[in-house]
Amino acid sequence: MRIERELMRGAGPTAVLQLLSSGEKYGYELVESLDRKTGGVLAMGQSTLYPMLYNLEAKGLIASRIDEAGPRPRRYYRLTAKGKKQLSHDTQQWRALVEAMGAVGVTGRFGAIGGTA
Amino acid sequence: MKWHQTIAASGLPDAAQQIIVQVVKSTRLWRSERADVAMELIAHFADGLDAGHSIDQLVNDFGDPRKAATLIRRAKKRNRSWLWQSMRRFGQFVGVVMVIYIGMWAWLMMSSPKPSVDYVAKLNTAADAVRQADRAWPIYRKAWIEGKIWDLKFDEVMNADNQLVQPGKTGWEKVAGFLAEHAVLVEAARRGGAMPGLGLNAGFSRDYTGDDRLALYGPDTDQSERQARKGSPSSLLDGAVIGMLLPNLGHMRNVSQLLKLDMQLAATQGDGERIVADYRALLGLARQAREVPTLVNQLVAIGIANQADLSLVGLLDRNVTALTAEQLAELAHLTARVSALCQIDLDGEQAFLDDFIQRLYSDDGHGDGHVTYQGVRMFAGGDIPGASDKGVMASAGLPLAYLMMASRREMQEQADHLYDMSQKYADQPLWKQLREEPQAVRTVREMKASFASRTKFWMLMILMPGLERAGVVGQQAVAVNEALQVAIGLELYRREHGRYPQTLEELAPRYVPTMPIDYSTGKPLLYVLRDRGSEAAAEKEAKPVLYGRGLDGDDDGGVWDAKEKVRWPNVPKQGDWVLWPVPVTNDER
Repeated sequence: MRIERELMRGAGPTAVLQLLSSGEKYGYELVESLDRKTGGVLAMGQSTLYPMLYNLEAKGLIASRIDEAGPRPRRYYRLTAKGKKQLSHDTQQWRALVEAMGAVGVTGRFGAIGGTA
Repeated sequence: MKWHQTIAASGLPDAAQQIIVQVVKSTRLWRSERADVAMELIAHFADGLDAGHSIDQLVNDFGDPRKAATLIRRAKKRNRSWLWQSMRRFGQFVGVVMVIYIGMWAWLMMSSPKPSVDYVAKLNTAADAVRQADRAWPIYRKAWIEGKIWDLKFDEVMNADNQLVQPGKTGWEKVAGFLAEHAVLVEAARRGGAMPGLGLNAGFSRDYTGDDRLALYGPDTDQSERQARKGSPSSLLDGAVIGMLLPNLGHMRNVSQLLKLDMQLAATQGDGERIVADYRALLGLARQAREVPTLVNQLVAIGIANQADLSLVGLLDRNVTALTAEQLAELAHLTARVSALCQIDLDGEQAFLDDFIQRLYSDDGHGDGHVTYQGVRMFAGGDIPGASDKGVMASAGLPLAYLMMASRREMQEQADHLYDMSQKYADQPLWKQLREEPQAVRTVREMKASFASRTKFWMLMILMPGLERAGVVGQQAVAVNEALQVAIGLELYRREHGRYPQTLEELAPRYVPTMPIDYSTGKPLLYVLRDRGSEAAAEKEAKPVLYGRGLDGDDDGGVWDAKEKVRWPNVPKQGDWVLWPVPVTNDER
């Protein structure tokens, strides 16, 4: 199941920040993780992922470095302090949202967002 | 290595390379940014292949390359430096401003000023109304040509202070010959001064006949005619009040100097009849000078009338025996006309600004409008023959002028306001004018202090004449004149009673119609009989002194302070304002 574009616009960045909270990752790694961990629900085309990463970097939520030590140069992304703060804020928002949606019967009593990455 | 070389050297399948090239190329980013994106996408596809995915699947999962390029370009630009972002925003701002500016320029260029009021014709209403038979101008014109007025120079009858010589002083012996040489001008002034009007339009050189021009400019100095030939007929300044010529005024002033000299000469020759004739001619000249109601005309008229009075003031003190009682009575009658000649009316002067406004702005038919290209060009001097064309400057600056300058209605209202204030000030009694700062001056100062209002009304700042002294000049002339009327009354009284009166009240109403006032304070004019020790024994009786209290408001016994720096007959700051006789200290300067 693919998420509607408008929903994805809010969920995608939070999901990426959450994935980076456990350590730095490169682009394809993020693609794979998103696909695998969300059962394909939050899988996004790479044409969307990379611009999203650049936008998060422009906002100072993530930072990047180029690692040329491997078989090919790769850009690794990591969470900044500002990104951590934003993730914490977004997590609370999502919890409240899922709880509210659960309260009206749209979702279960409590979603499993956060803490499972 | 360039980004496309990097892609080619990546070893990726062609399908992957093609999609990377397409995306990177379509981003139209800086070279370093494209290399960065290329490196990342190469890694992406290589990692995908390493993970066991097929190239078809990876290409399919990648999505739309054009959409990717657009999003990447947008996101990458957000990562550019603060300086670049600022410059970009500034560039966008400038672009928007330019578009608005050009739009505004196009809109403004569609309008042009359409002067609808012929202010020059309005100013000439009185001159036009004079019947041909009542006009002094034909008399003056003939005499000025015959007497070559353009060659009239007073050098030989001037003293070291550049003043006309006084009887008995060095150089006086040349006066009779000088006046004989210019008798035609003096005689014409007496005849012409008696005419009801001048009948000469203020206007432009091209409007004058050949004889008019010869009389006004002389045979070799017709600069105005040359200017008129050069001027473009489409020029906005064509027919404008600002270009209006008043060449007769200078000549009328010169003729008045001749009449003044002749009055003095007549006094030394005991020719009272000529004194009266010359004085009458001077008042006629003053009256005719006011026919066109600009401030310059009024000030010249006041100057001529005041000089006529001052000549009589001196003459009554030194050569009063030249005048019979009948002639004195006639002079008393004539002097009563001076007050009307010394009034200030700024309506005519305002035509100058009103006319400029109608040439600077468009007209929406309801009293409003905006600045125009032609108007700004004219204001910048581009319409002046021979001046560099300011068209480009006027055109480029037009929207700026529109944004910063007052609208036509605002400009007109402010001009009206300033002129109203100036007129009210000029109508106030002299003693108030001397002690109060004119409201118009205060308003202009406040306008100058603020950049916004200074810019908004810069046309007024530049073109508005200083009007605050006009009323003072006029009323000082009236004060001298009223003192002169009293002096004549005193002489007539003395001739009838063998002595001067003890108080001025004894003069009214037979010798003066009303009791004179001291224009420096608003109180009654002061009068004292004083023994002038230097007089011959036969005339050693006490002589009258007429005076005001001056700016300090104190009665100092009728003494003009020898240290006073203000030149008589201006109101002194200290000491008394002696109006008759002429203070001795002034003669000695």
